[in-house]
Amino acid sequence: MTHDSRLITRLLIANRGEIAVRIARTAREMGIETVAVFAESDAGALHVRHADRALSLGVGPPAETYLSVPRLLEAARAAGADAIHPGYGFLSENAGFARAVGDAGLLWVGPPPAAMEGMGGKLRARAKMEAAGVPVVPGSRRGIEDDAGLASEAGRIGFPLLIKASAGGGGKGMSLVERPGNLPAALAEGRRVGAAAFGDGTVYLERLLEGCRHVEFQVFGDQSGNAVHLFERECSVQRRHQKIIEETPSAALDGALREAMGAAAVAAARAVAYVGAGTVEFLVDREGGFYFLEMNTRLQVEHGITEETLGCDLVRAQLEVAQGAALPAAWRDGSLRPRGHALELRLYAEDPVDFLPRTGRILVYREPGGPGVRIDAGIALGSEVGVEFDPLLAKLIVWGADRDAAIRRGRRALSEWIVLGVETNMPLLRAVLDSPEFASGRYDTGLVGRLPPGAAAPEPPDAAWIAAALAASGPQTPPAGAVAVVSSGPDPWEGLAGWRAGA
Amino acid sequence: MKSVRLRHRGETRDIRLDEGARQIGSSPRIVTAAAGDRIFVWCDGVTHSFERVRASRSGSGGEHGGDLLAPMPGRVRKVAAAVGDPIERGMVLIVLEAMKMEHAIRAPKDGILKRLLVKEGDLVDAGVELAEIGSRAPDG
Repeated sequence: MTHDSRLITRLLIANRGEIAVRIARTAREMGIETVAVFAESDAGALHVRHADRALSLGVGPPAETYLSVPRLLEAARAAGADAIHPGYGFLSENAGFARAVGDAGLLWVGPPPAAMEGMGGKLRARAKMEAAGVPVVPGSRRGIEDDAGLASEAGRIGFPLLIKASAGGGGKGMSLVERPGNLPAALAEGRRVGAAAFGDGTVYLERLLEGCRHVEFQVFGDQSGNAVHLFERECSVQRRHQKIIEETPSAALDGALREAMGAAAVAAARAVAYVGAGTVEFLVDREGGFYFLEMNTRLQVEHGITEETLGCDLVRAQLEVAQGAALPAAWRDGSLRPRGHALELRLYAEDPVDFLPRTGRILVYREPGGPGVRIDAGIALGSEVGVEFDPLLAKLIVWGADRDAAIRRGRRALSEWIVLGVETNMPLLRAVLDSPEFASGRYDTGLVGRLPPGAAAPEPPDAAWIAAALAASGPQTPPAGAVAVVSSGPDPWEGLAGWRAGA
Repeated sequence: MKSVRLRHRGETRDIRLDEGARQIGSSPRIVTAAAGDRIFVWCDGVTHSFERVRASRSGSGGEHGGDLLAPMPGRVRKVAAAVGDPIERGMVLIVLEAMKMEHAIRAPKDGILKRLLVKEGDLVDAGVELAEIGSRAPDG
């Protein structure tokens, strides 16, 4: 590829929510002007207020706004932007968009389109990894066209197995097949979902590895051909195959395994001449065997825990690499060592027990603070949480000198965090931190399913019932010794229809 | 003296509001917010959500097993049956989509589709009625 070494002066952030805010913060620190974009329904969203300028992408669902290449390029032109950062999700892994950005004369803050394509299809990525000597989950080497071929392939791989859409990801386009008899129906469903959700009905089979941990490595490449890893993130606390809590370091890795997996991750990045930030995901079995799962060719949601333990800014590194800089010397000379332990807790707008989405308006909001606590939020007081976007509201990232300290700090910070108006998974996050299995460090992706019944929906104490009844009954005379709440405002204690005990 | 009926997950309670209630309710640190009939309470570091049950509403639905209620807010992606269709328990009747997630709503019992209250593209709130399944044969 050609070596690009232009300076970014004005960056368009083609995203919304917490990641758009996150990127704008670093850009501001670097003296780069920021341009936010928004769908009209998001005109009051937090990310709009964090940018120097904000441009409307018009009215419409995500497909016509945040996913519209013409509208984004038009916004970039209108704003005079010279670079685009895609964040994660939306168009971040769309090589066509990356190419269109380059063709428009703008810098793309991400990997080269060819590297994205090399890792884009899961089947193609598996083949590339095998060729590079990276172990992959046992499964098929090609897309399966006919049911007979599928049946014999399934027999070879063994049950239970997974049918996966080659174009899928993020836990979508994947179905479990426990018995041979269920194969044809699952195949039809897999093709339907693949075609509908990803525009590609190609499916393949993968052996279901049970009792595994999901561990990923942060990788980084520059335009001079350097490629490094920035250690691992343990991502085994999941619901619906999506992560809710991540931590680093992983208790599952010893020095030798970390070294082997790190080397495999770097080999994966080199296999596609990777530039910028990427993540190589692996499954780790109980015997310490590891298998390549996929590579995410973008910044990861959970990048913050790597930043906290390494004392670096990955968004800054992305922007510097895009401008032609080499990776920092400390990353390349092998002297980099993580310090302490970090956890990320993802706050989702969803029921903490059945994980179904929840919507509403944020009526009371107070963020936790103090030592070792970082919040990357996409919401604020008054934010509307609707059905059209991802349920991720905010991330709590805590750092501690060791794992126990980080968990204690996470518990403390959760107890300070007040988010009322939309139901969230906060009780589930607390239940995981409180669980002996999580505390032991020896857990796998089945952890959430093994929590005791009711753990994520604690019984309200009598006082909570009474307070709820008082709130439901409308404005009331405050009890003696209590402070009446009269209006909503930036102070979270001034919630709606509430009161608190006087100090 | 005022009484409020509240539900928290499976449990329903009537709370009588008098000075004693106020005294109990004022002991720990509490923050509340109400959004219509949804009440949120932050109490000593833990958040609980309640639903106010109005006397005018006869339970909130589903008691006779034929009402299909939206388990989440979302957009109706697919309606897989028409009024008058025979329905088998477990078949997918409606697919809702919210926050990039699809959720299939299955028939809770055998019968015929008696009423259909939504169409593809509609936006629904959690708890609203989507359809009703009637008995297959008039049984007297």
